[in-house]
Amino acid sequence: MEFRPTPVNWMVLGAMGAYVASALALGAGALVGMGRAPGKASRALRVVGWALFAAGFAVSLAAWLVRWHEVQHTPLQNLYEVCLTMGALMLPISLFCRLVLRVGAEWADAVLAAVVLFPVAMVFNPEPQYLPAALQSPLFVPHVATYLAAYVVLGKAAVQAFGCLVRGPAERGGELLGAGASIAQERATYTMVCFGFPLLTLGLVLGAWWGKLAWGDYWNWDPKELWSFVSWLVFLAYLHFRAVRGPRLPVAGSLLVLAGTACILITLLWANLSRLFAGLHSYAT
Amino acid sequence: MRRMRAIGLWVTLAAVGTLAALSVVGTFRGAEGARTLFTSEPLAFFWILLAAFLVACFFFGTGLLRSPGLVAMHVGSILILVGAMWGSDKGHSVAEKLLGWKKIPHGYMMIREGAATDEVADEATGEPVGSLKFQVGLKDFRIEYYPAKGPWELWFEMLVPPGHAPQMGWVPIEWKEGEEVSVGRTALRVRVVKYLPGARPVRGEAGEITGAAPDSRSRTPAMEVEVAVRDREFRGWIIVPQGEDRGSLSLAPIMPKDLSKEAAPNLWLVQPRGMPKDYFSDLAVLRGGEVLAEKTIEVNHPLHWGGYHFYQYDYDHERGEYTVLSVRSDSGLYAVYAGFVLLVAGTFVRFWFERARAGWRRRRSDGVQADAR
Repeated sequence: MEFRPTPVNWMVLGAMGAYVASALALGAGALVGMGRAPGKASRALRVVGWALFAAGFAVSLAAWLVRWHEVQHTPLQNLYEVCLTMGALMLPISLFCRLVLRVGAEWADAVLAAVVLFPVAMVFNPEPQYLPAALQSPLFVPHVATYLAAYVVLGKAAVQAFGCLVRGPAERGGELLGAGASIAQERATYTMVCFGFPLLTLGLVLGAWWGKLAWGDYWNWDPKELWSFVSWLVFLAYLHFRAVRGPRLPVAGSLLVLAGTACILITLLWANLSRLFAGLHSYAT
Repeated sequence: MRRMRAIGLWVTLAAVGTLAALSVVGTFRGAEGARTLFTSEPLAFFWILLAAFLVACFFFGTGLLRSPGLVAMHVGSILILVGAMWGSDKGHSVAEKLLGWKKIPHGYMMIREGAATDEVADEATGEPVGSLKFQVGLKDFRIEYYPAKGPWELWFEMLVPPGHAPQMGWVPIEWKEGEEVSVGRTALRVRVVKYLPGARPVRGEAGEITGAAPDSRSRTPAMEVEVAVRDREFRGWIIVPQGEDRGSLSLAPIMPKDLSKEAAPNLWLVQPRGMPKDYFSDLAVLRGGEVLAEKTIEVNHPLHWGGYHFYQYDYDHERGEYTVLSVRSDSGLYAVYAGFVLLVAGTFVRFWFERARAGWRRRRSDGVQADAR
């Protein structure tokens, strides 16, 4: 692990700093306002937090555009570029969730953004690479971008599920996780999974279609394909469980969501980095 | 009713859990191991059971028919399973036995430039598995490369004198300006005296090339080399002509006198190639000498003809004189594609639009009640 001083990595470092500061400000704002109407201090902290979140987004978006210019293709080829993209996706998705879906916990989103950017600056190889023939497809960007959006959304679902588990079944006041109490967090978890699952399905199907065009089979039983299918199945199980049981068993539902997120992490990282799973997606490291 | 829902839930969770567990096992077995596992007979039984269970959901699944999204998702899943089974090796043999539809499920074709064939071979054994009802011909195969970085490469090419056994072909020379290096296991020693990245030829009074001079407008290099073999020495220029990707220098002056000039070895200065960008095969579909269709295929752009897809799969790595096509039957494919569309549409309808509509109705109903108060 070492910092490689490229222009993009310096920008990533700046974005990470802004995201961490944003997480601290937003988290402090939520803690100060917990259990009562938001006061001046709480509001001021939130404004500062959002401003820092926006600054982090602006810098990571700039880094993404610089990378695009460097490599001369949409930077979604390898883990370096995928994590860079996720760092820039966090704010738009966070805003959409706040304004449309009424799901908050932006401090956790800022933490997630900093976490996904960390390996960009410190771990992955920033050397630009040419696109291999298989990746020169009109389905390259939709397939990867849809998956990344799904991963970010389901990462937010995992944050809510974790909050639901930590708080237990009892109703308690507070807004640290943006939903007030465990039942509300269970609903927020479900809302986020409902938002992310169609994206996950679309990503899977676009990948299958692309596989048919590039390799001749829509399903090649490749380890990364199988792990992505396992992730999809776990969220499918959660949705069936939730449809039949409703919000009455939040712990079991939350555990399923966390298991699905763990499978996503394996799909995204372990399936590419581990020698255990050599396959057609090895170029994505 | 509640009992039925509970049973349905546990059966669903058992099916999904089994599939997830098998998939995890498959990830550790590699792609081929997983393919063998999932296409084995017990698993074929599992797939049929799964499809039957999905069909049963329409009869016993409470509320399923009330949601267009859920209907689309379940119909889509059934179509994917049926299409995949139909397109499998077993599906092809069942279709041949029951319906007389004879089709090769998959294989490969090796075609030389200027030739055509209808023979399909097995990927694993190379044995012929059958013939198509038409021929596929290769007009040309070519590779496009990314621009390469780094200095030009120096190669030694030993030509084979007539009547002699084949010897070495091309030997790379790790050169550095001013340093003398040995060439492979030969007695040859080469010293690069001067390397000009951009150069033009210098001509003598009779118009003959006598050397090279730097030229900033030129995109091709020149190299002055000193070659020694035992007691003989020779100095000369390799000048790459404008627009070319290689230039050569004959080593005939230091070779034994009985070696003809054509058979003498050469030094080559060759532009380095970047990684391949794409592979192209210009194909023609023929029947009885008549051309039925033509297409240049490349990765991601296969040829579709006569119920088969033809994919760029491999090529002649030595001389680029033949191409290898992967052949795939399209049986069941459109059922799978229809299933994909329904599955994706169903998830968006169910989890985005139906939920948004329910939320909107709830808010409107709350608003009506508030107005009434």
